[in-house]
Amino acid sequence: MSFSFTRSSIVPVCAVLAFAGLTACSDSDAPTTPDTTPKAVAIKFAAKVGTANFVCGQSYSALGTTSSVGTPTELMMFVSDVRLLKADGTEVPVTLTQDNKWQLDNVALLDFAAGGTGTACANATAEVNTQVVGTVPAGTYAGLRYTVGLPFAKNHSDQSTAVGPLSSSRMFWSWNSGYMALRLDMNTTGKPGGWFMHVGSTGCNPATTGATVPTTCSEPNTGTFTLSGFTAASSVVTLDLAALVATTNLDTDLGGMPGCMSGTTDPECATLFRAMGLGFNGGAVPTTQNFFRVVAQ
Amino acid sequence: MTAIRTVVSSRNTLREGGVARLQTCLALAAATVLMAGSTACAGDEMFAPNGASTSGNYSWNLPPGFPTPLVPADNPMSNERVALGRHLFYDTRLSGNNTFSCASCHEQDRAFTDGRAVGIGSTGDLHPRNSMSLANVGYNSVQNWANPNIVHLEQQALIPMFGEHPTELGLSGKESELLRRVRVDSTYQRLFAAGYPGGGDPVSVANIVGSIAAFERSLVSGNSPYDRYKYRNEPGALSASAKRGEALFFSEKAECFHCHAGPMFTGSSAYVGKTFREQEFFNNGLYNVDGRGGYPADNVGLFEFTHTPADMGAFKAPTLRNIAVTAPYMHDGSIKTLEEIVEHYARGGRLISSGPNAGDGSKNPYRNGFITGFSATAQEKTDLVAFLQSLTDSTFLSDPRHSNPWPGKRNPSP
Repeated sequence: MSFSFTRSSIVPVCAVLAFAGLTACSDSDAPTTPDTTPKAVAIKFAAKVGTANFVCGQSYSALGTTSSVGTPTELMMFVSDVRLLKADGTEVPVTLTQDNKWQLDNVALLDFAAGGTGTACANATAEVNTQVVGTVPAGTYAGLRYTVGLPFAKNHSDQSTAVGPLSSSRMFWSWNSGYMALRLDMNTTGKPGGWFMHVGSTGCNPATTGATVPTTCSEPNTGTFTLSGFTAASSVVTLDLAALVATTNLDTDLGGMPGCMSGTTDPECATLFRAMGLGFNGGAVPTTQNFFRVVAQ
Repeated sequence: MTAIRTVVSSRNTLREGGVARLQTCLALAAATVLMAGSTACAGDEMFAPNGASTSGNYSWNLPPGFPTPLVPADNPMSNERVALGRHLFYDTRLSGNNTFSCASCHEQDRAFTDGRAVGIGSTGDLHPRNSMSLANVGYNSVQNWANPNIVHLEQQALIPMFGEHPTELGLSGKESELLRRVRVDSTYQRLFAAGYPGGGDPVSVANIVGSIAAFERSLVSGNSPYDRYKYRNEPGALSASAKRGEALFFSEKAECFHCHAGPMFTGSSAYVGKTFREQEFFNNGLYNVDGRGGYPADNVGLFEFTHTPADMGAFKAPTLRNIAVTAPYMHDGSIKTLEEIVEHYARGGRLISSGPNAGDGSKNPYRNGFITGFSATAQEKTDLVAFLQSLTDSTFLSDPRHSNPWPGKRNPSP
């Protein structure tokens, strides 16, 4: 089974891939001889607030340590280096479809917030993208691994000439010469003007005076996540915002901007990073995380 | 002593799109000492070897004594590009809600500052920092108050355009709308084609920031009384008081010149022929909120990027050219007059006796070593102020080449 992709027709391609994912990753029709033909695969993501589906602009109660009511106004995330895992743990990279829009090389932009002028999410774009599409060699896979955030060179490339997902100015983090890896904006009971969780690399500096891009970031704040029990045909990866903020006060600004903008001196980052499974301020990477989960679709 | 951050270029770093040139550079740098490496490579990697070769048909008409600005090799100057950038700079269509332009915070008659303590954005957000002068901004080796990464004006422009905390021009997520607004305007159709000849669609974010940067580089100011006195043999251009102030400014008593060095009165300058690329950030004793050198949380200076404790409160020493018209002063606009500036440095730091920012800046452990205070008579302080006032270039403040080109003046102030 093979597909040819056209760059001008994104929606049909996605529809085909969604179907193809079912076929490629089902082991009920595994061939008797090894088949290494690339098979289309779609890794599906879904944003949740607890058990409820995430809808940009909808209000959700009982969030955080103060049982705040939160109204999300943006949710976007960069993933890179998406890999499927065989039963023995072997990594198999997913070759991403180059769609000139959401995906570029080994990077994909996920956008869960449908917005636009006149909506409750006025600044979010109308379009959404909740899956990573590409190909993998035929085979049986039992797990998923991906990185949240961009590879270093892409993270610090020129935004004014960026293309595809890197041209999304909603994810620009120009003051840090980079991009956000995760962007969650909400209005909360105590912070009606905005509460934010912007994860991205900080402590970024050029090694040389006059260099126009950073050469190091002391806090890259990227995370690699391994989810077992994932099969593209029957699984979806959920991002649970309620679990992410469960141990954080969303109504009081403890310092810095309301919420967390990844600074090492931003107090809310400690609990939020821990829930997400990111090390904070040079600390160890937690062995567990509460944000991503594999569920049956 | 690490409160001074002076970094001298000694090697090159990888940069997308510059690999071939870079390899030559790396070979040179590896084989040569620091000085030779920085000379050969800083120019090669980031700039044309001399400004003239990237200036196209553009003539700088530099004031006597002024070095030639450096220009990125991929954005040569041209009259047409400057003209395009000037139109964009003054155009409120460059804000999300059509109310603000670059000029809203950078007004020509204030040497392209705004007279406010801190900038205000198109949606009402307050910026934590004071709007910087754009006079001679093409000579800056680093653009912002404390960000070591923002070297080029092309990079800098992206921050007010797309930044959201604070929102300045408010274009985040609106780049398609921005390009549409520009594309439908017949003036821009003509200006973009002239500024970016050679075919293809010239209307792009890259060309918008490139042409704005070109306009900004054209903002050369060097016709102050001090320039006439210093470079044009007009001894009468300065008052006796200003001449005494000059001597004090450059003395080991007041120590001003260590940080406000060179033709632009800032150590963070770069230009053709300057051997070293330098960026300097200093803690000048404005705050000490916790008794351990702390600064207010939204203005921690270079520390925000390096996370090095000694960089707390380290900011760029800005140009002093036209300083008399750019009040209020300091990174947060917290000092209102030149007289208070002189008192601040004479004390060697600021004492704030009450409120959330209370503390004695003169006891800030990261305070720059040259800021130890000095005793000066009232006359000497007056002389220092007179010298600073002699740095105002009134022709620059009203030069029609830098003014709003739009009929009907499309740049309302906030």
